[in-house]
Amino acid sequence: MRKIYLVAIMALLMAVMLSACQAPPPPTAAEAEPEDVTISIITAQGPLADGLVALIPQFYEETGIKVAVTPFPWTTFFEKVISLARTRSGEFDIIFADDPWMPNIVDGGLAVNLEEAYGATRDPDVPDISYDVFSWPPPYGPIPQDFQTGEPSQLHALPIQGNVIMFYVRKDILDERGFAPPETWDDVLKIAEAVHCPDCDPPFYGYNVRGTAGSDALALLWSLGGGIFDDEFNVILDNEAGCAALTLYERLSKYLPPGGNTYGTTEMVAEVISGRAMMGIGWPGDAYAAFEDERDSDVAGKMHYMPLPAASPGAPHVSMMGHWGLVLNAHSKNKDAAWKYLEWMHYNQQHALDYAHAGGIPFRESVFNDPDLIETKPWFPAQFEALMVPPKWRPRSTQATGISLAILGPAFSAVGAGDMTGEEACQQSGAEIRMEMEGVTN
Amino acid sequence: MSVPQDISPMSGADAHRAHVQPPAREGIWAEIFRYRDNRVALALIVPSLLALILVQLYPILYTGWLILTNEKGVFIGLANLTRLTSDTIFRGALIFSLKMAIVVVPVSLLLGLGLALLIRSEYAGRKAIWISILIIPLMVSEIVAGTMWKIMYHPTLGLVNVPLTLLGLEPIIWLMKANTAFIALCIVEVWRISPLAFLLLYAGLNQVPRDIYEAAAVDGATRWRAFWDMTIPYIRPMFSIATILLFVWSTRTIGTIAATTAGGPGRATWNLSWYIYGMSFQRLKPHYASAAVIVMLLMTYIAGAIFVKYLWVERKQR
Amino acid sequence: MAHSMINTRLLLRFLRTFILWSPGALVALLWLFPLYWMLITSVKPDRLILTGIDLIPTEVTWDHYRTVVADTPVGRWFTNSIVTSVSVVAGSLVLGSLTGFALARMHFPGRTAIFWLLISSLMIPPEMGIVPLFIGVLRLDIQDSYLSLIVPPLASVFPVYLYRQFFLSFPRELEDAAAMDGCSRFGTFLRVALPLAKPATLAGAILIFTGNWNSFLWPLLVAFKSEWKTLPVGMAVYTRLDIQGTATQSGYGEAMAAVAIVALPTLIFFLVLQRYFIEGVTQVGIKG
Repeated sequence: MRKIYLVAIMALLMAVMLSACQAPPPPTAAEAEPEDVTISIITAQGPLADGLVALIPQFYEETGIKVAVTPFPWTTFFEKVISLARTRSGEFDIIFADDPWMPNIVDGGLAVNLEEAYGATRDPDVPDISYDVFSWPPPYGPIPQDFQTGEPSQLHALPIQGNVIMFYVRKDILDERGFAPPETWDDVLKIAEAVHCPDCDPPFYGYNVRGTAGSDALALLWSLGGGIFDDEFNVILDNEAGCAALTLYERLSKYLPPGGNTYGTTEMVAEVISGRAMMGIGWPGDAYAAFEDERDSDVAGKMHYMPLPAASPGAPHVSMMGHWGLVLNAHSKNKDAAWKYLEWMHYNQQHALDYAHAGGIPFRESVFNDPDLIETKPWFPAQFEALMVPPKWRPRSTQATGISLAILGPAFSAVGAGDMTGEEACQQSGAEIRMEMEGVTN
Repeated sequence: MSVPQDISPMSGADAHRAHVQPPAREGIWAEIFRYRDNRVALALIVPSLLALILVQLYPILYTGWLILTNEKGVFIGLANLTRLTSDTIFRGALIFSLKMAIVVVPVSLLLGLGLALLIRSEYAGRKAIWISILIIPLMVSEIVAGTMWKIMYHPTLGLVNVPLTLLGLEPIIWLMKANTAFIALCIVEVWRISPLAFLLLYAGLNQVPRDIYEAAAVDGATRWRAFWDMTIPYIRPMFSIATILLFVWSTRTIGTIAATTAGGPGRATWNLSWYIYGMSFQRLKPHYASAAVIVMLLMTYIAGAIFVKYLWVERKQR
Repeated sequence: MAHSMINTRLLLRFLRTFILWSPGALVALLWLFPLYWMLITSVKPDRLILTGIDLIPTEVTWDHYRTVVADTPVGRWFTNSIVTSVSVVAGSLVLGSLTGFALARMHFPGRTAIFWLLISSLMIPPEMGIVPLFIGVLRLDIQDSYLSLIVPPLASVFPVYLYRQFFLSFPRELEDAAAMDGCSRFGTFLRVALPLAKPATLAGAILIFTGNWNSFLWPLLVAFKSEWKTLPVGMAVYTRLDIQGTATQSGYGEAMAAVAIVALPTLIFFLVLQRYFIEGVTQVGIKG
């Protein structure tokens, strides 16, 4: 026993010593030779990361710069970015960030102004909205108090993934029942009422949703012409359009699968691919690829994809965007090499095409309309169409993510569960957002 | 199993007291260092205390500082704490945490005690196998447990509903409504933490010398009285430590909630940990969140003090 | 006559055993079931997972495991987890046994106060420590190292309590005998007390090992680079909890395979040491 005890002490000492030895060497002060440079990228795991990883060998061959991609799980990625900002860490040279996080990233001093530092320009092949969303201060819409400095709005990231939330519907059933694809949300309700049949064998459900995710339901808000803030950051969630969106969700939730308000992506996708759900809204990145996967899906080739239905006939089909862009970390020690990577990924059409072929989502018009890609990703043209409407972005405030997760998500979830009416939910959420924004200036 | 015959319910330390010299009057430090025993004891304890100060005390002090300032670093006194009193979301989370503890802790303790007595009884043959099975839930993490149970609670395909359908009852959509989601989470928590209660109480039961039962049998005491008068006093310290640990575990869970209900429906299954984590890392108000941390700490201390006062009776006090 | 009496007695005994054991067996079944479900889900093809219930998979595939192992540096993460967990176990048992011995067997001023101080720190919510400690780690620039993974979890009070309780029930006579043989206090601890405390050591080792193996939030924060993640943090890529807008395409199959990869080492560790562990919790006291 004594031996074991001594061994344990030794093991502990060894571990401490080992860890001291293996601690990363102090960063070299001077810019190293290009051959020795490794740039590190933090990203969320999934198709985003896959696309980046696929292009690394080619980038290395052409420039001699190594790239290390560190994917993080979705739920913890935002928290990771926040801690990078709080600690002014240069651990990652590039942050592959979701556009709603731009306020947190800029406010945290993590983003290099790419126009000022490197003369970044706009490529005509890329929709304007995709640049606008990564410009700071925001070119239009409310500007946080801390950033009302009159500075010109300039690019702080380059888009790599032009994601936007869309609407999917079973084309074969539309045709069978003699319906046209829904133009407005009223049409959606009509179709849902007609096809909903929970007692059939197998059951069939009129509408489908990721009920736990606030951001999906948020899209209803934009498409009905509502919003969270007006141009002065006054809360307008509880105005007529806002309450209409929550009421619409209340009506739609009657057509959900049982317990549909508890669904995450996996359950939502499972209902569609097993042929039990008619339609709904979803992010192309995680859902549509699964719908079209012939190995697992019963509905491959049977889906119709479109921008979100409109509030009324003739109104614009406004969606919600969720672009991903490369942010050059202001604390990076390899800024020049990192910029080379940004340029290489963003300004070269061929590389953008390769990225999409590797599973990523396009951001260029020419890639969205590439015939080869459309064969396997039939929603690309509609996605480009949705981008040209243009879609709305989430509010440019550091609190936006928190509001979405802690206030709007639960509000939609409560409406979906039937615990609250849409009207009650929008009044309560409006009041909560006002409280949340008290004293917030960034 | 060898049973010690010479075990004394009196702690060795009490016997020790006789050896301690009357203190000299040279100040406390000189007094402490005068005796070799004290020096050795100090050397044995200091490493633990240092680690504790570094890892536990420093964060408490840091939190104490955070709480007095706002997110911009301006001193605001106790405003963060007073704001908490009118925060209905916080109140909901606090109540949910307590509700969950009130259900989960006693159920897990009783289940753990029952199983411990059963396994300890002479009917239990292959104890090793039973113990191994019973503590398996301890081997998986919160998130793993949550993910497994989420599939089990699936509205149409969940296995939890299979027995209900077999009995001819309507299947329940567990995670959809606040009440059933609460029950569902309690089940997950009992599954996850009652093995800890079982393990601690089983170890406690094994400290009870068997000869006291023989003595009791001679005295003609019933099994029930023997259990109540002799077993319980022996396992009381273990019982109270188990109660405290279970309380802490059940109020702290965050992984199981994240993986099953994600706090829903609405905010019905937000507990304190979930609230604090969200406030700190998503709603980005770490200073305000630290006020909630302090309340959580106080809540745990008050509960702990109650458990200790009413459950903890060291044997030496008999 | 004698014959039937034996029969009745046997029957009674059987009945009693049955009545006592059926709840036990039921609980055991319930305990094991989610785990069984996890394992069979991990070997089902994707399209069978959320489309029907079958207790025995009709089709078995190892694809999910293959995907997970091919896509991630499992080996490196596994090493990190092992080194971290083993060091934390060794370290906190050393600290715990020393302090537990002093608290139980030695009398010195402030003993009770220190004991309650330690016990009360069992109640500190981990939320409290995370942010300040994390900032400390970054100031010292020791993120992405074993140091930051191992040191903070070392300050665990549970083994102190475990050892104290154990040493309390330790007969004075043995200590005296050791002293007569010329052992110093520390010698008594090392040569007499500690070997007898094997049960506590093993019980503590298993509980701390599993607790540390599964710890998530702390390693998540201090591991920036992929090669410093621990197994649960790395595998979290597959356990998809989509609180946010987008998520991955991996389904429950891969999630469950990942979960199984995380859980299996602790299960194996436990099964290997199980005999000692059971001995540990069963046999408190002194042999010979």
